[in-house]
Amino acid sequence: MDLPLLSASFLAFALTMYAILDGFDLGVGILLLFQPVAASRDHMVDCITPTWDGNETWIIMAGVTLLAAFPTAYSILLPAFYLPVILMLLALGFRGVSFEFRVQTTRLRRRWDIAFGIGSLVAALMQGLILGGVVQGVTVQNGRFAGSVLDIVRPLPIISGVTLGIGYAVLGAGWLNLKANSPVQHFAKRCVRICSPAFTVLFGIACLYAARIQPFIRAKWGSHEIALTCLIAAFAAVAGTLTVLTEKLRASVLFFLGLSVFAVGISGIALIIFPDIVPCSVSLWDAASSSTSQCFVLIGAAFVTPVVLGYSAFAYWIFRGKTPEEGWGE
Amino acid sequence: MNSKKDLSHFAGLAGTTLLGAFFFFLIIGVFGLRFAITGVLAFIVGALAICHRFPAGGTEP
Amino acid sequence: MRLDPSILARIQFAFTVSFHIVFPTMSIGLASFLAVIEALWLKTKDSIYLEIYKFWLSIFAMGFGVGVVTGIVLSFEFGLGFARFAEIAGPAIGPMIALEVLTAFFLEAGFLGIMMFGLHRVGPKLHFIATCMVAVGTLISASWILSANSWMQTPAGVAIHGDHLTVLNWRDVIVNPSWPYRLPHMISAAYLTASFMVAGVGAWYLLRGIHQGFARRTVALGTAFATVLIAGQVFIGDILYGTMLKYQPPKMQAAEGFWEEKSQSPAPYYWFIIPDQPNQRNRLELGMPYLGSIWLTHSLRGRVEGLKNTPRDRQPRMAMVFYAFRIMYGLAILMFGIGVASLWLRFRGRLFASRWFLWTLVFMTPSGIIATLAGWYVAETGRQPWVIYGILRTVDAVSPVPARALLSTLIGFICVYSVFFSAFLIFTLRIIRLGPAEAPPHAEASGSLKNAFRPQVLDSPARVVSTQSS
Repeated sequence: MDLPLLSASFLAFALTMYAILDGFDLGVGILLLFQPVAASRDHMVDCITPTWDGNETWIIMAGVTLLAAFPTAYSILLPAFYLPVILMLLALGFRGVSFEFRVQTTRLRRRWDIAFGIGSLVAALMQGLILGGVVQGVTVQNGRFAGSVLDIVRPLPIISGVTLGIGYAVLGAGWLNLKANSPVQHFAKRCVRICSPAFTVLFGIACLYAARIQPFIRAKWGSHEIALTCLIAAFAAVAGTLTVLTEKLRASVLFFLGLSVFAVGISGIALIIFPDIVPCSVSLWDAASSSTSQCFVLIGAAFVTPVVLGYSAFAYWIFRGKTPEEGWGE
Repeated sequence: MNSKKDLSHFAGLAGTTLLGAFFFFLIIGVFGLRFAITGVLAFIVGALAICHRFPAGGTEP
Repeated sequence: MRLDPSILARIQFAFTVSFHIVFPTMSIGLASFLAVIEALWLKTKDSIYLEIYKFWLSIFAMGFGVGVVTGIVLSFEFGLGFARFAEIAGPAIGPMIALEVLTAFFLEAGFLGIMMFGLHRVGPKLHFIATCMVAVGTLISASWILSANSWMQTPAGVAIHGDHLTVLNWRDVIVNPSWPYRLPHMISAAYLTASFMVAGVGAWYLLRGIHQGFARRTVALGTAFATVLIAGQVFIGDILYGTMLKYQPPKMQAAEGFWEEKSQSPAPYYWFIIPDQPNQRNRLELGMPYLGSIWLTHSLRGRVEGLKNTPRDRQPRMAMVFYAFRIMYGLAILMFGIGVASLWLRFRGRLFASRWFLWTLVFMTPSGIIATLAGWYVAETGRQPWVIYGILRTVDAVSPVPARALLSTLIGFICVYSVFFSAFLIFTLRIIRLGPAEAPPHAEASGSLKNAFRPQVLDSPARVVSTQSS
């Protein structure tokens, strides 16, 4: 276990935390677009209001860890994904300010709800796009990005974008099932029944397409057959349970299964990309900064992350149970 | 007949302005670092004393 | 039409960072203000403090939200617009910002939910801790980011080989030469911003004769804080000036408007110039005689060093630095004057009755924001043409992104941020127009941890409850 590997693990941890936590926030936002009843929309937003900010912070953690530990990769990947990253940031911006601004008005609340929903949707799509783009590969020359900002408009990234959006919707629905009142719970369960199979199918298509266009994925299959088979089996099992047993599962189990699907998916992707950080061009070790920088981040992370997890869990615990009908307002 | 009141009012204002300008020059170090430190401390202590002593009639009407 | 990517990248970063800084400046000040107010409420049980708290909490929440989302943009924008800067400086500033996220962002975000919505779930004492945690979070955050930016201004503790930067000594990187002075300067600026915002709104109510109790208390508090703070700020500013004169001479040379290696004696203090950078002279200069020597050299006849002391390819643009500095400095003098006037009016018992003073406070409501922005423009434009002073030039740091992409995203940012800003302004003005709501007559549920576990507290509707019987 050397330093770049540890840093990469922390980076993966931050990204996973983000995908899971902000995943259900963005998912709820996406589902907002499909909820016709205004009071239910208010309730859905209430379900994520007290904890969304901490959830979103994990993406900054991931981005900054990349900058600190793998600056070369940061300087290649960000210009490569210039347009989707900026669209994602603007979308997250709309989603974030909508929390505060929508409660200031009743007349215009529906407009802010649309902004909230579209912001969440675009952010999810862009994140998937970037993920697909990473797997697809990025043109690198002399350690600099040398492609076009429009390289991302190709089938794999686009499929990945839609897949991730639907996946987040599954997470969001699971959260609502856990925290919301009866009408919204029914709505959430319907969403799970529709989105789970869609997500599974699209994920499968994306994987197959990626394997087709990227020889290194086929090579990985060859060398890690057992691990990948297990992951695929686990994925299928969890996704299947989610789809078939939606009504019969307890709310917490349902949500947990959604998280598991994501965890399995992320593990698979990580296994495939490793040991590169910019697939096929830059390995973890090539992109790593000097050990003094890595140590600083890792020591800080080692001490502070448990504290962060502690009081974050405390915040979730304070707002445990079902979200009150009349919301959190004073 | 407010001329006396006006005059004292004006004198007070002028005096305060001159004192303020003097403190300003003190604090920005025109007379040296030691005077600057003394000046900023004296100003802050004086301000706190005045705020404490004259709570600006801060109770409800 | 030929567009220059480096200019577009700079404009884009300048726009997004200028927009962003407005909001954390308010948030840092208001967070501590709210902590003080809540402490006063808990101590005195005077419901006026709860009224003040709730009023400023809603404005704080909006500002905090806009600050967070515009801040996320910046953490990625290093790479988006200035990839080479990110590649080179990443090992130095990356870990600092990573620690900022770990020790500050999570802290603020984690406790913000409790601060905003938890009063009925945790009771006053625990809630107060949440408010304090948010305030502390903003201060820790300012600390780290100022360290990162100060490292760009006065780099230390690193070794460079080509494009590869290695940190040799973290203590030198974090506690770099300018950080110990820039940090208190920024914190004071944030506190002054909040003080004048609070005092200005209060003054507005006093002029209209409404919400008297609320208004008197906030004007009294705001002016008192402002007076004490401005004295410290002017002092720190002067020390910082001397520090930057030592470590980044071109910036201070540009700031004062002098060109010649040694100015005339005695030197005036320029208030207005029309600089002609290509010809290295001023077309017009207006100033107050003797004041330059007195303020800048602490003597009656001292000579000031001008921008020609710096080679031409290392000179910042004088116009930007000069005027940004004058705006910041001018507002500081105005703030100082208001502080002195407020002391005098207190002494005379006329703090709330003097209409000209109250109107001044109203106009000075955004003064802290403008002064802070101006100060940052001095800092950043004065450091040009360097992005890391003495190490990397801005033009060499730009990303390999085509100008068309930069232009379209710049337009995108301007449009979206305009929406954010308009909404923030409209809703804030509406909150001010509606005024503080009457605070509930009874205290909230008592604040022990034990009570937080009680089912009554959990299931109680999110409205005011009467004092709990134990």
